[in-house]
Amino acid sequence: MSELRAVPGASPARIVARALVPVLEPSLTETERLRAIEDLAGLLTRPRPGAPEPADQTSALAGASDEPAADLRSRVLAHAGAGGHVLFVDQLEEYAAAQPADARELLRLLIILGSHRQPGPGPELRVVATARPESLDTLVTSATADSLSAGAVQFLAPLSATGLHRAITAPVEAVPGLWYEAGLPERIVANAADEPGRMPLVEFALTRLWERREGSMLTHAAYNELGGVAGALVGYAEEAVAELLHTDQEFLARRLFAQLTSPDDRGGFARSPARLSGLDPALRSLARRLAPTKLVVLGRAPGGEEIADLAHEALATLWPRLNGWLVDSRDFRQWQEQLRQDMRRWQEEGEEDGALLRGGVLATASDWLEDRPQDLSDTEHAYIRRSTQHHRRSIRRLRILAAVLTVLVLLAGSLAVGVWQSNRHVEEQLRTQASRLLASLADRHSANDPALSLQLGLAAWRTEETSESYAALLRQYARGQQMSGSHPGLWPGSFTSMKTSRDGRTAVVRSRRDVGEPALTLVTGLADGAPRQRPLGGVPDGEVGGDLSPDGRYYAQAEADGGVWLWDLTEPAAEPRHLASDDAAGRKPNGVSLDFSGDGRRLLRMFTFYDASGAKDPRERQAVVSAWEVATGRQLPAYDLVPDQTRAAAFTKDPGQVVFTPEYSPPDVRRTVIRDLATGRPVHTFATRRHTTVAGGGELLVEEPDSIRAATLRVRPASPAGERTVALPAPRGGTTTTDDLIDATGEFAVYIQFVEEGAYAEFTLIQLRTGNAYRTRSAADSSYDDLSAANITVVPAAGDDNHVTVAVPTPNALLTARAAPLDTSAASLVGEDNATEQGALAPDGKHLAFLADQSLSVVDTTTGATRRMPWDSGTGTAPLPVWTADSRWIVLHRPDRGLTAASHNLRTRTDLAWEGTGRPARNKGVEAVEPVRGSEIAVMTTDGTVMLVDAATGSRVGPVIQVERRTEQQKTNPLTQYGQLRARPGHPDEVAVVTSAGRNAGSVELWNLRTATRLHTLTTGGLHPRFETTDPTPLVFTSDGRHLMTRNADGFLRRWDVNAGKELGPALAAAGAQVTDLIGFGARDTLMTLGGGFVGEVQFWDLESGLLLTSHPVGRPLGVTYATTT
Amino acid sequence: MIAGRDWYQNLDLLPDAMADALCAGVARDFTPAERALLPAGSRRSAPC
Repeated sequence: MSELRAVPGASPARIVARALVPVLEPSLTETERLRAIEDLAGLLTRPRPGAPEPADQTSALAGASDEPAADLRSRVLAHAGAGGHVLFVDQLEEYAAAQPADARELLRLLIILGSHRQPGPGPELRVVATARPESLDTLVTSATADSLSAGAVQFLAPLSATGLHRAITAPVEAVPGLWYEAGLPERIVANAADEPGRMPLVEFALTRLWERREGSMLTHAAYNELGGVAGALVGYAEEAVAELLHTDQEFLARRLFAQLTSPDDRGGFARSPARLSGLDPALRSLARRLAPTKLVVLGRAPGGEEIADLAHEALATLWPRLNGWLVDSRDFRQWQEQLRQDMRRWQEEGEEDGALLRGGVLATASDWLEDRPQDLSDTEHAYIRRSTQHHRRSIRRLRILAAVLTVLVLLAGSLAVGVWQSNRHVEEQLRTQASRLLASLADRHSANDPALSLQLGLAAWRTEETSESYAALLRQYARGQQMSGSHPGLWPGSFTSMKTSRDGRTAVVRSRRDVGEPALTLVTGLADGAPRQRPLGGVPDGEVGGDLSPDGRYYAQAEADGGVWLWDLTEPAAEPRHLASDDAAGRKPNGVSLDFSGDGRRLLRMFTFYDASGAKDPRERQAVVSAWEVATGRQLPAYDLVPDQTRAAAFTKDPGQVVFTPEYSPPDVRRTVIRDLATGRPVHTFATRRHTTVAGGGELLVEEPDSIRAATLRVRPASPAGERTVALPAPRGGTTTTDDLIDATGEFAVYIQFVEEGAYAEFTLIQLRTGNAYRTRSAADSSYDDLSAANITVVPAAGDDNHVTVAVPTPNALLTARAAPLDTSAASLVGEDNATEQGALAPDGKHLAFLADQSLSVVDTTTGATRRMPWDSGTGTAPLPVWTADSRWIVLHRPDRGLTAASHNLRTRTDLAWEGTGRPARNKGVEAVEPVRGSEIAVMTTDGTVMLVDAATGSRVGPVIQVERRTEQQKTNPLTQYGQLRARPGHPDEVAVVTSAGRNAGSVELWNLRTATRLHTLTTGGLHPRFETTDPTPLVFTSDGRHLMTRNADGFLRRWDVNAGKELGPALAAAGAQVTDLIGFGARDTLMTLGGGFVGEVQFWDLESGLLLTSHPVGRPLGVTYATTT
Repeated sequence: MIAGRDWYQNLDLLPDAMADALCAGVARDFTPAERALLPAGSRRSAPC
């Protein structure tokens, strides 16, 4: 590998030469090397149009190709090892900003170096260049765009806030004993969020923070002193130049910095290192004085000359004083940069008169020479003087040329058309690149900001229909198809919790602003899909319990000392009322919880604490309850100390009674007690399970299963009638923990099953009062701590609509999804069973069949209703059910008894026969079964025959075809590979057959099974083997049967034109994606496969590029089916 | 269509159908912060 440094000031040819001469001739001395660089640069320099072609170079190139860069490429590869050579170019944007035309030429050279393939396999020269995306406008021309369009430009999205946070904290965590003061990294991330060029700023601020650390802590105080992320840099720079300003040397500083930057064409300034020898002596000495401050960095150019450079480009934008200076001298510097380019060209062209300044350009140059002679180097002086002399000589000759002007004007007209067309081309390129960048950004924010990710995914597709934007759209759709809303910006800062009224129509969201200050926001209109928000005033600090009255009228929030703030939500501007408490006096507070009575008229507070000596054992924790009348703020008589270990207290339906649920620990206390509020007298005591929660506004007790195996959730009224319990389905393994189950309205149990890699979750919602169950899917981030059942709102069904809506929070948005009713007669609702059985979906998608627990189950996919039929699989692998093409029959293979067909409703079953007698074919080994059409299937037996059998009648309907002769030993050898069958769509009765012997060569024979004719044989290379009847078939056709995809033994997938027998497009590298099965061809020239290892995923491949476009992670799938619409 | 033991998912893979399904649920304009993220060359009107 070599690094190519695109240092502003050098010509493109010289830059390339400098990077590659050491590769071509590694053992040269310094002087020889410099000469070799000059020679190579000369060869690579493109003659300017109109410039005379130097005679010696022509002879040097005799016999070589037209393009010296292509020759250079071959020479580099001749020196490279078997792995080829990589040329790495970093920060190409700096060169592009300083010398746009040269940068385009450099890119052209790089493209030639990197793009010509050697014939046949062999080492390659690869060029990897990085640049900021905005420089693409400058770099890419219509000539180079074509070479770059095929995925050569990859956008890297900026570091996300989470990523930046990690970049800030990880290095500190790696140093033992060093730490940030709490909250400081978050502040830095928040401050840096919108700064342009934030990485260097953050780096700079962190360095300064480190210098000011107190002991081993990086502190808020030091950060405040620095003035935050941006302030750190400006403060430092101002300090560094303060002395110059005091000693009237500002003009020198202005001139020096002007020489170290050059204006770019977007109104900014780019870094542009200057040779010290080319600077005026006063500037040279100033550069040396500033070097210790690191604002100016002294270094050496590759040629060995000493150069001065600006510490970072960000200084020019972010340091207001410098920016002001540069703006003042912009005109001069812009002109000077142009002059330097002209001069370089003149030098490169052997100081020919044709490249001297003339006309208006020369007049401007003469003016600047007069104004700022000290800022022009000696060579620049000389160049302008030479131009002036030449100008005087040529005035006479120019007059003669005037007649030619007319022709030139006409030419310019046709050139303009060319420019317009090329602009349009560039615009298209830009759109394509923008679409790709949006797709990659959508992906990056997929988990941490789904609302944004959805917008960007859609925007990518709307901007340009590329395979990347199709993939982005697909990812969003796969997780968002049931979503009904995405509402960002309803609250300030980041979501922390939510309480919702019983009807789901009013919610109060607690959030935390970037500075850490808490906020409360009233959110209404969730039910009608158009949420509105209003901030609540007078929010106290602290993070203790809050509650919303079931009718949505009052919100109460407690403080750590037990005081309570109460908002009347019907009065828009009202400040909260304060209900004072002296319960904290002499105690160590542990927590406060609040509960409104079901009628919303009373507020209950439980205050838990340790005595003044502090916590020694959780058993020493105590609690008091207090109650108020909400309308008047009058405190109600309540008994004081709560007996036993209590987890939660809430009003029952009767506002004179309070229910206390037992603490998880110690486990021996498992009694839930209803007491009279005023006297504390027990009214009723229940024996309850360990995890018992009060729900439904104090009216319900929900008991979770004590063990994960228990099948039900127990719900009972929180009243003396509470012995009558109702059983509801419980969550199983793979769903969220049972600690937190009830939603923010208190009316639904919520089971969340995250599909982490897909950044979405399956939600099962069970209405506690009715037992109605609902199911939906929504984008969700499993790593988001505040996403729990208690922060999810379920808006109940209203009117004729039998769907409910679930609202799922992200840090900055509320996502909603509609959930459809689910048939609760299905035994299980959610959770993985750790089952390893395989299943199959009917082609019409209506039923799923699988074998488990000695029975054949058929599930209605829409309602979840399941039918079962006993099935003895014996001891071997359970067979894979095969559906007939009409979705009416399930064919199962039993090793000792041949094939059996069961109807889809499991009412009938038939043993299939295929011998001439029509008797059931007992003791016949079956290797492969394939649906062909209607209820007909193709069957392949261990003795090498293939035939059509009708599953509906159980009889053979075509001839017995001997496709392979097998010896007795082959028939009984357990290691024999199985044959393979695949019906060819659009070609009735045609089936692709791979015999056991043909598998190694990948001979795919196409047979018409009804006429017993072999039509065609296709050789595809070794195919993925099958050793069991449950192993998938490594073949899949397009819906018209013209193309065939094969899964080959070498780990690649290949596409074939069946009739021509030719391979199409690139092979797909399936091994890396852990492909386990082929599904079929999808939309927009894609192939779908199943794979992904332990986590199941449906994968989408781009057939044109051969790349894996995207994958949709799913829970463990039992079956996949697809249909093609035409 | 993909189905597991107690779940299923039905996907229409035609891009217009996907965009329509998403837009039926989550159509909205960009927030100013989102719009600021759009790179040059992007379509800047509301995506649905």
